[in-house]
Amino acid sequence: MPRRWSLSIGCVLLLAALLPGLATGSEPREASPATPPTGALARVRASGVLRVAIDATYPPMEFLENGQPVGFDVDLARELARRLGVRAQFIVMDWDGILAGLTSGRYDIILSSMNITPARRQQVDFIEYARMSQVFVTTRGQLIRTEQELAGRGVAVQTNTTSQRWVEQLRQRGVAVREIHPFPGATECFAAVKSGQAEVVVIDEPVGRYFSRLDDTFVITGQALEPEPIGIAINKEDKELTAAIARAFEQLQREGFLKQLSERWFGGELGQAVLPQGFWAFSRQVVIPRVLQGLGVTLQLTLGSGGLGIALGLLVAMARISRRAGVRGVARTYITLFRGTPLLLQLLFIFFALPLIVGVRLGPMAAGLTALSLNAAAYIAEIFRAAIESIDKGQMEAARALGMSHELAMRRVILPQTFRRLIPPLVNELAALSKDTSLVMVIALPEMLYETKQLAGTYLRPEVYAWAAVGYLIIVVALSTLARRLEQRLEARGT
Amino acid sequence: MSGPIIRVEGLRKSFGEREVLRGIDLEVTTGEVVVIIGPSGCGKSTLLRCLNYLEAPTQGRIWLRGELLGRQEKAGRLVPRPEAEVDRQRSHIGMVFQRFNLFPHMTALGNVIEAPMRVKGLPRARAEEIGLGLLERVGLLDRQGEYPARLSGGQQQRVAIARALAMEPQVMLFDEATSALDPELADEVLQVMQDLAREGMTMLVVTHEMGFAREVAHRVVVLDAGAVLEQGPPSVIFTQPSQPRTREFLRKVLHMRPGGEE
Repeated sequence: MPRRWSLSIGCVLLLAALLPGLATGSEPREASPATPPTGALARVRASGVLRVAIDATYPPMEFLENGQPVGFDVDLARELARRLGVRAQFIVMDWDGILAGLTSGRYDIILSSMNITPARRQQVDFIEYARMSQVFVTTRGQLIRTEQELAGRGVAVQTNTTSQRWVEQLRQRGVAVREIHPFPGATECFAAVKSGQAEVVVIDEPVGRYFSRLDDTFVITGQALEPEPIGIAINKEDKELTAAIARAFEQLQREGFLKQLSERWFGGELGQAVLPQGFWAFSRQVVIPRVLQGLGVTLQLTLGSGGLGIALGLLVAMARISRRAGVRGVARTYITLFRGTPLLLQLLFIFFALPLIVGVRLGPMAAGLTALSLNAAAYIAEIFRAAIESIDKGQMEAARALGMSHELAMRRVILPQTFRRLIPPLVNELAALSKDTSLVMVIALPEMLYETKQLAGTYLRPEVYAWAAVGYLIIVVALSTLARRLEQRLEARGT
Repeated sequence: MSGPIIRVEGLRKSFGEREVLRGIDLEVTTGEVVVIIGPSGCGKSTLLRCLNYLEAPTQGRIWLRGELLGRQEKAGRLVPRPEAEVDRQRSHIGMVFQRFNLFPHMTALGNVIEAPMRVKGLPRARAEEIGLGLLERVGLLDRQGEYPARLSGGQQQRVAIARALAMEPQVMLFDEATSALDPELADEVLQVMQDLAREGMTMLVVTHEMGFAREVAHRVVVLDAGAVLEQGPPSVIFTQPSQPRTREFLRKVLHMRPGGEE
């Protein structure tokens, strides 16, 4: 909520205390605000009028059209009054004095998109009737779905609003927004995006919806976390009135009136601005693209470090069974070191410590690949060694007796025979590796689990986890299918 | 028969504390078929394995056509030859094992042509030509494309013989080549060995097949406790052995089915 939020709480309290009558209302003034003490509800019923305060400068929630108040809140107030058996009378107030006017009894309720805050709660009661968040509005063809995707963008915001503050905080949290363009009004923000001066408007949801309905070059493609609740403010002592309005509101909600109203004013329900509703729609539009993006990185890491790990593992295995004691020792030390310490530690060491010790600075991908490969090689070396040692000694002797060198015999006779025995443990190792790749998220490499966590942080929907699980399953199932095919082929060969 | 092709002098071999060969002297002439017999554990197999340097002797020298095996003289001292040299020397000595040791991931022909191609560097076409000729010689031309798992033991051993012959060795060593085979399968292998002998191949044969020894051997060497007990033509060894231990050994083996031990 721009204006509403940006006002400091202290200021509200001060106004509440000092300026009960300063409101610049342009509406019929009530002659006698302090009516019989029989309670607000009775008074409303008796007078046949529910006095509703609005700050009519906030389309599409409440604004003036040809001098008449219109908007979502205005329609809602009218309907609520009708349910109470009375009619609504609108008192247009300046925002700054609107709360003080309520406590001093100048009107019965405020229905003007007021944020429910702890400070205000101490003064008045609220009936929550909607939730709003910051939405990202951009021109068709662009796709900015999450906070992270604001990185590198030029962002238009309304000056002195929640939106502006929110984007600034986002920047402090490390999202590299390229530029923040503050404009005095919402219209200018949208004009800036249309003309290409900025790429995206970050703005309150209803406003974003309203403008994107007026002009269909604009689309809402994403939203910020945690929508904030807005409520109908009523004086604390008017419990009966509060209860009556709450009941009426619930009824409207049940009857779908609120939905219709949202539809009419924003073209959809608030608080669900962008999220496609169904499992498939949400999955297809939001989750799967991100998970696939992560899957690409995860695959790169798995195949890359798997390949390097196998190559290096073979070398280490050869060293491990070398006839030279020194070479054997080096291999044994390597295996002990990399199997004996956590992969996470190795990853952090390579990424953070190596630059300090030897001045080697690896990017996240290179560091991730290095750590995963070195680690996998230690395990794979032992797999190779076990497989090589399981081959009958007579094979090496027969090969050597034919005049083959040790190396040639290893390459042509021994290793090919290990292939089939290697497949099951290697598939195991690669499957484990594909899941170990998720550790690289600690060095900010956006693999699949990283993307998943980001998505989950934004949407908190179970689909997110489900699709990540599917992603990993795809890798592992593909691996084992491939392995089975290979095994069958080798079996046909009789090895 | 002309000149010694193999000469062994003072050959000793120990495995740790245990001395398996205790000073063996032996000469084999080109074209000669020498059958080595003796009780289990007398060192017959070890002797063969030393002859192609699968085991390095602890002491003593072996010459192949006058060339010292496994070692060379440098500045008046004997030092080990480079490994590649030993590999080359070994390629001149064919060996057939008790358990065949065919390469299970290669076809019969693949087994035969592997070393000629990889060690001698023959082009595939030439190696196959030789390989097919050898398979024909051992009667297995029609099984050339089979993997060892689909061949009988006798067929596998015949492929193994063809494989060893493919390197055109100067000497063939047979280490109990029929011990793992049923008698009728052993016979087909023995037949091949006999043909080979008739063609003039120099052969050292460790076996329990006394019939083969009697019929094919030019000379029988009796090994006992790591030393040569006696040697001579089969006619002499099998009828009038000079050593009582030879008599005892022969009495034992001739009263049981050949094969199956050691």
